[in-house]
Amino acid sequence: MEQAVEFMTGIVLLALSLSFLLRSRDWSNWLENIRQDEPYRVLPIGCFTILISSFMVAFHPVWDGFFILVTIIGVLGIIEGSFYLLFPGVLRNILGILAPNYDPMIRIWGALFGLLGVLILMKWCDAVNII
Amino acid sequence: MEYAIELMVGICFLVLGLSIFLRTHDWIGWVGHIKQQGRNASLVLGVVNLLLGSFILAFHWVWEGLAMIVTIFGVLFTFRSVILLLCPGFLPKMLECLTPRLNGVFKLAGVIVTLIGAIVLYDWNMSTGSF
Repeated sequence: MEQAVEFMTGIVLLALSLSFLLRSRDWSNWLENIRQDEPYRVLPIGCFTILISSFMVAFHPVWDGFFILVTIIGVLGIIEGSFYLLFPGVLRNILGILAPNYDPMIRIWGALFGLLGVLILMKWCDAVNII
Repeated sequence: MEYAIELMVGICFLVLGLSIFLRTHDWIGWVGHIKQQGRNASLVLGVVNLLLGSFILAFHWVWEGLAMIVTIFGVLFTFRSVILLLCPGFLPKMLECLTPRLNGVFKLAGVIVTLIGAIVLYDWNMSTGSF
């Protein structure tokens, strides 16, 4: 099960990274849309984030070696989701600092996600002896 | 596998319950948004409930002790998804009836969901001896 979660995390990070890098304009519009809308828009995003992150932590309780990275991403996701659910108005304030030009931030996140995704998938391939 | 589901449900319920209790106003705003979406929102929520309920039931078929609470919620989510998907007109009508009492309903639901999350996490901790 742990290896399945590692594979899932690698694929998701890689796909998100490509989307962030190739479609940064669309993500930028989406963030601006959230900033201008009511705070309740953040609540479903918080629910989704905490659901996926708690799944990662619960099904991947690995606290040593390289793959601790996946567990840490899950823990950070739980913190992020809790933050959205408990302080839904704060995201708009944070986005307000960067608005309206989110492109550089999205590209930095895209590069970081891509790097993490490739690293996790490479290590996963090593672990399951696929390549 | 059962313990992983309990941890996941415990974390989600605890944070979600606190959010519903502390950010009632924002959740009421979200309900207003759902009401505007009408029958379409019912279908989306139905699919989410079906995925969540069937996931819990598939990996957590436990009918004894406190852990049974999680299985019961799996059944409730699945049952709710059937209503939302087969009778999409029911949700807007129900929300219309609840609207005058929404603040009280949300406060009560927040307390109950938080308590259930705490109980599930306590039982998970007792069973696994993690902390």
